[in-house]
Amino acid sequence: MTALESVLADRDPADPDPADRALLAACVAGDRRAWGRFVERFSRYVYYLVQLTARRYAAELSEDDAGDLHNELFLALLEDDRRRLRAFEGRNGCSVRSWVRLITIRKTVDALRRRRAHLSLDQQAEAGVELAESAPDALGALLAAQAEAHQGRLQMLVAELGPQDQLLLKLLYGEQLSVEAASAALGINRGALYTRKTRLIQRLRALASAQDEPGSA
Amino acid sequence: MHHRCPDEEMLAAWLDGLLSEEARDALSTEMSGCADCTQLLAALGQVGAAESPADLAATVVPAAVTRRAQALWPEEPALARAARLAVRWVQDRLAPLADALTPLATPALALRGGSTSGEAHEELHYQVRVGEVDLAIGLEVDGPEQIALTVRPLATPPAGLLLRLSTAGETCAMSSLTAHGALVPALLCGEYELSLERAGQSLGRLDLSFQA
Repeated sequence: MTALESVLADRDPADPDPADRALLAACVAGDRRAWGRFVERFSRYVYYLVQLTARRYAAELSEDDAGDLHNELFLALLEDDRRRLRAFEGRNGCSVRSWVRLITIRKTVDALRRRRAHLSLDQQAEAGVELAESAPDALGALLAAQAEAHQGRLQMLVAELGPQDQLLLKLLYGEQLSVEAASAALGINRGALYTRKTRLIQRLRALASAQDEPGSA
Repeated sequence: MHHRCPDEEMLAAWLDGLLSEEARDALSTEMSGCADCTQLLAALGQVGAAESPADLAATVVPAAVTRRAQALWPEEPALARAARLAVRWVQDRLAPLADALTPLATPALALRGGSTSGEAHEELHYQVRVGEVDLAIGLEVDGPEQIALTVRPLATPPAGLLLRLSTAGETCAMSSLTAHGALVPALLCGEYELSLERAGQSLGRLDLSFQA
């Protein structure tokens, strides 16, 4: 049994990343059979993500098209003498699986755009925060009220926020993401997101009150 | 300040919640100022929210799609590639596989106790040109699901040639190529590469597939 086969045989279902990294390293080393195994390992996941990404953006994707996108992902890993595979380092604890996931979704979105499928991504957000016409929640109502009164002032209020809060506003109201999607985009759970929203409301109210006080600039 | 969209590892670590608060602040600032980044993040969020382990498990990939992806591995240069032998272990004998070199007609004298009829043999012999050298290759039953490989040049070979037998990128046997040839006993089922080298350069290669 080769060293690679030994690592693969010991793959821990709870933590498959060491085995995935060994497989990736073998591909980088020029092991063709390791590539076959790497494809086999991630084929279903890539195919699933391609279809899911297309479905989320209401794009019609035939089985042939899904297969083509699937293959394009793996081809992208091999291009330029396996440049992408060689470049993977696992920085910040990034797993091979997460890395493959990110590349797959990114390439699928790019491909769907190129095909000019009907996607909500084609609706470009304005610079700054673009508010939804209907803002059912407290934060949205607060922002809508501020925007109606003073668009410029709203920009100033938002600029006072921390970078993560600004990004949250853009995702919720610029990109019109659901709470679930915003949670996934920020890598935090729903509870943490709701907490952050609540604090955001308090912060914006405090900022707006401070600006309303006599003598304030 | 020139914006640079975060690389894939950074973004993957972000999505998995692995970054420090400081790193998240820095990345948030970068992405907020870039429409492409924000939109990509939105797409990642929407797909992430919809992912389901049950749906993933139920996904069926057409076999041809996976095979095509596996076949994307670039072809090796012709110089390093010669031919392919493929045999299968069948009831204590060796059966040549159709997608490989056809063995020479096995002389009856070469068989020991086996029948000349049927597709399986105790010994198989091939003549193959690897690089610039004509080689006689012999595969012989050497134990339960084991074969012995013999390699003999058909003429006195040039000096300085090296035979290397590898599997999965690891060398399992190596020998100078002399007129006497080389013997590798007790090979187990697997995929092997027999390469002919001189001064570290590959002159040719023969793929050997021994299947159970």
